[in-house]
Amino acid sequence: MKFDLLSLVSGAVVTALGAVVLIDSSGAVDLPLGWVAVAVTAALGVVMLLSGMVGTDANGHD
Amino acid sequence: MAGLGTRIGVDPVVLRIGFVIGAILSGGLLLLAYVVAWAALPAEGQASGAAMRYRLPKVRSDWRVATGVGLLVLSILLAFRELGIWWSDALVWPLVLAAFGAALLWGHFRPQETSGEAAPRAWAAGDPATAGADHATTEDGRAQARARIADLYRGVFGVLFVIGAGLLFLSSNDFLGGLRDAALTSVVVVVAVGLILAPFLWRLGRNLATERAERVRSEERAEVAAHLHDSVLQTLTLMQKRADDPREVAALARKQERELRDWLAGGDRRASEGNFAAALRSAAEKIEDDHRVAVEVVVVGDAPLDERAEAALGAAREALLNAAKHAAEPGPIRVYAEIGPDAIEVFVRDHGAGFDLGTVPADRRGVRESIIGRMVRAGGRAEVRAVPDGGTEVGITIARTASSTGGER
Repeated sequence: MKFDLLSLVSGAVVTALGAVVLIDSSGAVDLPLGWVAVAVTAALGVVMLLSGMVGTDANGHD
Repeated sequence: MAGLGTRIGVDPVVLRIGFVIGAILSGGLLLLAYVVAWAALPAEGQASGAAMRYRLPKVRSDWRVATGVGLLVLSILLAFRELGIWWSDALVWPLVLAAFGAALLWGHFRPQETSGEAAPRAWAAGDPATAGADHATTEDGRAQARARIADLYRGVFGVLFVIGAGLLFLSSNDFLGGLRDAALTSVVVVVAVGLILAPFLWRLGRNLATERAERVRSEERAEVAAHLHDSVLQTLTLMQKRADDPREVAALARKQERELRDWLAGGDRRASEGNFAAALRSAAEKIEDDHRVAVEVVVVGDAPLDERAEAALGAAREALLNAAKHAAEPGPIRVYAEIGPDAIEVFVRDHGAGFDLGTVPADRRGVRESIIGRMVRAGGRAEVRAVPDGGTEVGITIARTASSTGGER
């Protein structure tokens, strides 16, 4: 079985981000806007960094 | 929108209107969904699945790495601020820019990136043994040149980003105040001096240009004067001395005319030496000079002086020589040559009394061998015919290539 690293990690990051936003919306945790910005920026950074590092790998499978 | 409309069976226009309304009502959130859908859905004609591979890789991987590093640095700085660990807002963007530029430079100096992406792709695909071979066989020169230029741009952008970050940091912290004042003073001084000196410099430039143009004109005038003295004036002197010989005067005038035309043409004729047209003109001029006859040459087209052209040239020269010897009067000898893509045709016509080839004694071989025989041997033909209003015309025809001759040979 072959894993697409980019899709796997990106999916995990977006899922984690969604979970954070969901918890914040439910009121369980009061997340300040600054921390949301930190989370969104970090998630985007991780996805972009990973995309750049393994992007050529993804192309190679085409 | 078109793809989605096709999928759910709704007119794309209706979808677009609904999307605009939805985007307004959702405060712009639908725009984000559109971006995600653009990246996630394949375009028409692409295979489904892994659409991001088609969309995102359009941005080069080094730029994505740099963007990712910049965003991560920004998130760390924002996290520090949320934790209360903070120095100054002036630090954020210089650091992000510096991280972005450094990441670009790091990618620029990675060894596998300097030789294109084919090898890393093959290596990443798990087949390092074939990576080098694939690279050698698939990367052509243009791709390598593009890769080199892209690397160069990437490096330059990286350096500029780092320098810009440093300058932004210094400027944000007022460290550039003194330097800025000095730079402004220098600019003001340079502009002021330039405004003062501009009229003088402009006049100096105009004077230099005028002087140069005058020098060029003077040199051209001197060259024309020297040429006129060496050629035209000398010929006029000779013509005065030979005024009692009209043929000699005419020959001198024609020779001078040719030289003058050559000179005015700027040496084009020298460049075409070795071709049939130039050789035919040279032969006509030589006969004109040697026999003091007038020869008018018209040549249409040109061809290299190969074996077949040499044969036609030799026959035409012989026809000219015969005309000069026997039929120079009462009019000029006219030569018309047409060099087409398939054949060379030359017609030499004089205004003499004319002659019948059958009456020429057998031991006179000028026409039979040097003209007709020469052309037959080369694969062409030559005809001697009388012109109705007097004179003789020699027609010479030969194909440019052996295949065009058919069964003539």
